[in-house]
Formats: sequence, C-alpha cells, structure tokens
Amino acid sequence: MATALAIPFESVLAGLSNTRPAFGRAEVVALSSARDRNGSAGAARELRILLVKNPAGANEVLRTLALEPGEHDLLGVLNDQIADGRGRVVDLDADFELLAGRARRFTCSGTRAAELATRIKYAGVDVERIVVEPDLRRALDAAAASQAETQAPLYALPTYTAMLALRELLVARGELSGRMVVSHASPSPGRDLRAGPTSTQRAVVWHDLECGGYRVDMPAWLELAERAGGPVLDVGAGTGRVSLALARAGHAVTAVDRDQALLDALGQRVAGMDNRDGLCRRADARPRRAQLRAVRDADADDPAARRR
Amino acid sequence: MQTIQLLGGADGRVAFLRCARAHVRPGGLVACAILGDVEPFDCSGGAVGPTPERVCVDGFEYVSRAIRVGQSRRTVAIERERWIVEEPRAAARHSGVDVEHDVIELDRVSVAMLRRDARAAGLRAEPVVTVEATDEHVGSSVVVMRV
Repeated sequence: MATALAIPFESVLAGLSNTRPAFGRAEVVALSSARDRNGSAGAARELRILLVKNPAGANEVLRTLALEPGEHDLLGVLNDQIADGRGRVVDLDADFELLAGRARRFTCSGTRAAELATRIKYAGVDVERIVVEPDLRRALDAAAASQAETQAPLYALPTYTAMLALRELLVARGELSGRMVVSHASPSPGRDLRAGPTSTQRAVVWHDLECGGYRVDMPAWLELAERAGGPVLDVGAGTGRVSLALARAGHAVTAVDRDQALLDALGQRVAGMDNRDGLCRRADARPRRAQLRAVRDADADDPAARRR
Repeated sequence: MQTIQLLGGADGRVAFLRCARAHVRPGGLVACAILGDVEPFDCSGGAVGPTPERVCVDGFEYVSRAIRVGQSRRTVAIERERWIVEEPRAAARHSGVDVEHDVIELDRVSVAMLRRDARAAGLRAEPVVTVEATDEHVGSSVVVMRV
C-alpha cells in the first residue's frame, strides 16, 4: 500500500522502526527466571506476547511465526470469558497446522487449555511436545524454564482476557511496569472510536493509571488484615487495588466507594478473580475461597450491611 | 488511600472514626493511610516535571502528568494534566483529542492530629506502620487504631 501511495521506502522503514508495541500486541518482556525472583542469579528470557483476538488475527500471528526460522517455544492461553467470545470455537479454527514440525514445546493454558491442546494435537504437533497446565502462573513458569538455555524467545499467544491476566501476572512480578494497568471493561461492540471514551471509561482508566499501579504499601495492608483476623471493609476502594489483593490472600473483603463507575469495574474484576480461583481450587492450591463484595457507600448505612 | 484526608477537616475525620467505632467489632482495627512529606513543585509553565504515566486502552492512549503540588497551611493540592489521544495520532505529541485538568485537594493531616481525632472518637492508638517513599512515590504513614 505504501508503494502504491508512492511513500518513500525510508519513510516506511522509519515509521515501522518507531512503532511501539501496545498492550499485548507484539509486546516484548524480559522474563526473570524463578531463581532471579528468589534473589539469586539466573538467565533472563524474552517473552513476546502476540494477542490473538480472533481467527483472522490468529492466522496472521501463526504465519508470522512460520516465517521465523527454527523451532519455537509457545505458550497458548485460551480463555472463555465474555470478552474472548464465550463458548465459541473460532479461536480453535485458526491454521495451527502451520506449526506442525515447528513447535519445540507448546504449553496450553487458560480455562480451555485442554481443548487447545486437542486442537494442537490434531494440527500435527507431536503429543510429546504438548503440555497442558490450566494455571497460568505455573504454565508461564514451566514454559519459560523449558529450553531456557537456548535463549530463544518464548512466544505467548493469549486471547483477550488471557492477555490481561498474563500482563497482570507480569506486573505483579515486576517484569512489566505496574502503571500499565488497564480497565477490564470490554469495549462496546461497534463503538465509534472517534466519539471518544465515555466518562465512565475515563474515570476507571484515570483511576487505574494514577493509583492502580502502586504496590509498595501492599505488605502493610496484608499484614494488618492478618493481624485483624476478621472481615475487611475497604473504604474508598476505587477499582480494587487493595481489595483484590486482600481477597486473593483469602480475606473476606467488602469494598465501598462513592463512585459507581469504579465499583462497576471492580465488580468485573471480582468476576475474573472468581474464575482464577476456580482454577486454583481445581489444583488444590488455595484452600480458602476469597470473598469480595462491592457495594456503594450509600448502602453502608443499611443496618443489614453492617458487621458483614 | 488517603481517604481520611478527603473528609473536610477534623470534624469530618472524627465523624468518620466514630462511625467506624460504631460498626467495627470490639477489638477490631481501623487503619488510615496519610500522605507523608511532599515536596511542592510547579511545572505548569512547561518546566521539566515528573514523567507522565501512560496507558493504551481500546484504541486510545491516556497520558497523565502531575504538573503542580502546592501546600497551604491546611491543604495539599495535586494538579494533573490529562490527555486522551486516539492511538494513530499518539506519535504526534500533544495533539490530544481531549485535555483535562484535574485537581485533588487533601487535608494536611499528621500522625499526631489523627491520633488526637482517634481519641476523640474513642479509639485507642496502636503503633504506626510506615510505608517508605520510593523514587516515584512519596511515603505514607498508616495510623492504626483499636476499637
């Protein structure tokens, strides 16, 4: 197209070299090894996140991977939430056959890990090279550790909510900037981007951007919650920066805020957290189920809401 | 954080703490974070200031930059400039489709002041938890009170 428009090759090259990867779209992250995180030295490995939002996008990703020489280490993360297209099979309809004979190891994760593995198997990838691990944290660690000595990049192919979960995990580990926190709110279908974000979307994004990435105080809140030993009421919870961390640690949390838009966003994140907890429960990794409710502070005067 | 600094002064804080005392079980904890020392600055005239925070969501790049922190005897005001830029235009700096100016005003509250408020509300002081400052964020003190 650039040639057809008589754009000089140098301009095209400069434009491409100045392009910044955005939020899971060809984003590159330097992974520390598990030993690094424990304080000892270890080799870093490059993780390249290639968001797969639909079959057309998946095919472009697979064709691009097929152009790369050699065998690849891949982490496919297939989720089944609304933003991924709940219940659909289209993500499995991509041309995974392009990877036959090219996958050194294919780790399948997410809520539909087993289905993805089946698809990969029938695409011709050797069963010995397929690993199924629904828990994203363990899947990432296992995929990164395998063949790490080759220093080859690890390619992650996540669906939309899987990409959010993967980034959240990387932020929590300090491998991505904590400030790159994004609203989990799904874009409205067919929304005209030129109309701009709504005031509700803005409120959530500004709150996340300006407050959501702060983590330094989290050990203090976790220690205080342990010391209190009972349910926690988070007053001015916003989109749940502290509430979600406490709930994930097993505390029952009631989140209160005067801003309904922030509470709505928190409500969506609670739903996402429940799914992750479900995965953890299946793995018997977390015996206590986290509880979290989001209520408006208008409800806090309701006697029925007291002492919950 | 710092919700206790948004309640309109000592009267608001004491009212909040009394409400907390009425609702929290005996022996329970009330913990309030308050902002540590801030260094006032003003780069609203274009001087170099803190690095902007950025995020891309749904085809828009959001950029937020603190441009001024001012202190009076009673309050700390934090001013931010916010841009929302449609992503294809993001490379052209400041060609934002939307610019907002946000000001948040916090009551200046010290640990001693909050402990005084706590006593007035019938709460007992526990040791303060300190959250250290970092290169990017000011520190804070978490004032802990027992019901």
